[in-house]
Amino acid sequence: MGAILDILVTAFQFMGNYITEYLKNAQQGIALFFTFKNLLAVFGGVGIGIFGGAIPGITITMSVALTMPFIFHMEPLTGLSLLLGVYVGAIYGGSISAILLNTPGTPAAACTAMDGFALSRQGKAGKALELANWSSCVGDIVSTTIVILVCPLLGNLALYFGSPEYFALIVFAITITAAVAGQSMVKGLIAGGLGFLVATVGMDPFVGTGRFDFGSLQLTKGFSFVPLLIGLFAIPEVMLQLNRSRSMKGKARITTVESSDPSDSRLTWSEFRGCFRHMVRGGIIGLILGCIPGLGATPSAFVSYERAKRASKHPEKFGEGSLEGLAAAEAGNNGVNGATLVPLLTLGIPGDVITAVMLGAFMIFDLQPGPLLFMEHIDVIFGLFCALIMCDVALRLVGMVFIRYARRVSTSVPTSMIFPAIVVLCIFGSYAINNSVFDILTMLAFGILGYVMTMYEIASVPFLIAFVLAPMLERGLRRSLALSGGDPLIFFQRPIAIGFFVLTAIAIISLYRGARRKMR
Amino acid sequence: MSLFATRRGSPLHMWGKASRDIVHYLTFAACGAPVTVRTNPINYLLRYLKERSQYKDFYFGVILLLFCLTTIFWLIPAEVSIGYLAHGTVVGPSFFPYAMCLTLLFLSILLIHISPETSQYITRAEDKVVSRIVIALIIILFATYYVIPLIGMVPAGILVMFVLMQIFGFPKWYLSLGFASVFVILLFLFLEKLAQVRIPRGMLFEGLY
Repeated sequence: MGAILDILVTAFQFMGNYITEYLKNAQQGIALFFTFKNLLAVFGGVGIGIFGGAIPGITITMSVALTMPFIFHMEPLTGLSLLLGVYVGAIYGGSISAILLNTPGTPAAACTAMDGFALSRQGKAGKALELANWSSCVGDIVSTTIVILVCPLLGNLALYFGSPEYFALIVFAITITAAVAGQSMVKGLIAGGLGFLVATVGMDPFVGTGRFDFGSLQLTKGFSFVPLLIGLFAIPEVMLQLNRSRSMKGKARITTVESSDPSDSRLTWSEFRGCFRHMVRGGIIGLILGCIPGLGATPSAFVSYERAKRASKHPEKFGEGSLEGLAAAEAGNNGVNGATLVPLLTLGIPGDVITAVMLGAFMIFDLQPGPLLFMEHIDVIFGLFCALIMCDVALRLVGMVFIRYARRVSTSVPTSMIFPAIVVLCIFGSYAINNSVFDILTMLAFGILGYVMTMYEIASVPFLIAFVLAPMLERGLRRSLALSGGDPLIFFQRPIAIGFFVLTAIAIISLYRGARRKMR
Repeated sequence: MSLFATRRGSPLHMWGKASRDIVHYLTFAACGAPVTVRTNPINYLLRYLKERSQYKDFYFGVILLLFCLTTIFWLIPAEVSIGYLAHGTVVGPSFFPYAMCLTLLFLSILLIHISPETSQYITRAEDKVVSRIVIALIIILFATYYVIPLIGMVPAGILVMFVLMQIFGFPKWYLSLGFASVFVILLFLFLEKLAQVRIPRGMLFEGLY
């Protein structure tokens, strides 16, 4: 009895300390975030994201990548808030073209297109857009709130992390590259291996001698992250669009029907109430799947849709213009927004391409996501939480204005204007990072590599993740071995490191089994 | 046990088959038996390569294999300097490049081997994936890179955007020129005035704006 009482007292003490500490940090984060610049960054970012996401052919990654060059001269929290805004906005924006054109602006919006476009054909495009907007907000708020409450708890791991633990963690993170490998695991691993090799170009982090620099001063610094990112994700898309544009010239046309009944374009309270539980469930599904590295928004939207169909009283309406289906898909889709940041902020693991980009952005500002970030820059973390919440507010407000005034503009912009503008943005953006014309060449070279990879159906995501993780892996290994005097047993003497190696082994076995199942 | 069980036609099964053939050949050679068409490794290799050369991934695998060999035997020894400081460290600067190249070497051989499973037969349409228009785009982009030091980024940007709008099929040339000019100038003003990024003027227009 006494022992139980002791445990309870310790638990209460821990909770008390945690809450006090949490409130103090939250206060710091709020003070840091609520400035005019940061709010403008969030609202502007959401607007840019919605516009980019709504244009078919412009992916979320491309929207975020094209924004990257403009954050360099901002303060860290402002720049990161802008990126978050673009990310959240682009995920929602994908649903606009899915509903109006049956062309999902993003892969995650494919599920939205099923019911959204059916509603458009019934003359209920306004209602569908409004519901998609509400569902995105509710789904995101549900998952973000839980993330904000729980994430700092995981940050306490920071105290137990040394170089061997970091190395084991990165080894575990590398298994993610296999999870995002696409159709063929071998090709995904090749992409990852190439990413690692490219990351070794430049100065050696320990002895300071050059690697693959060919006597060039620019190559001694290594390849910059942003030109590589832009080249890998934006240029191949332009090339593909150029190929496609030869077969389908002209504007995309809105094929929706305008209803004469004004109530068809407005969402009623009873309809919203009927869909609310699906939105909350979608948010929770998004939270769970978003926390697992490598999954992302697309499976979350489909799982949420499937669960809603099972729970609905009218499953037969799903696919025929069901409001419940639309709400579930959108909430699941947006529920991952905050959740994908959990592995990134707590462990420094990028779970998908967007979080890999975010990791790059953190590094640009000399912030190292992972356990240490919670110790050294807790104010930035809580500032980011504020940005996430404000993104939802902005999503609702900007989304409302967008639905009313700009939806037709975004879905009817001709590709002959958009893609040349993107190329110019790529050129100026690559240059602006380091004021270096060499970065434009880097962007072009990786653009060609990205196109070749697309041609051979090799996913670019493992390449990017490996490129970001490689320096950390090398540092972790070499620092640990230097500490132990070259004894590799140092990795097997620390419980956390052993834990990560066990997780890695489990991940490899499950990936192998998954691959075998797929072959059958 | 089931984890390592091989299915007929799976990569592991095919590796097993290939290794059995090699052991077969070595046994014949060791016994002094005449090398037949079936057991001749050159014939075996040629037949193997001919069969796989019909698949798209085969070529990627071969290019990657050659790249890895070049890197291992030429680039790393020539371009990764060890430096006297490296002697004090346990893992030197060349460790990761070698480790990655060896991994990629293995993966490239695996890709060549499993190319019938990962890719389709090459058709004439697929041969033309790199269309002339994409090559033109690449040439335009590289030309822009070389032209920037001469005429500066703003005129180069307007030029490349105008040309691309025409390639993409924008209907009226004067409208595309106007749109390109406005867009690039706005971008220039944003970067120069707000982000404080100095945009190169080029040798011809230095001091003009």
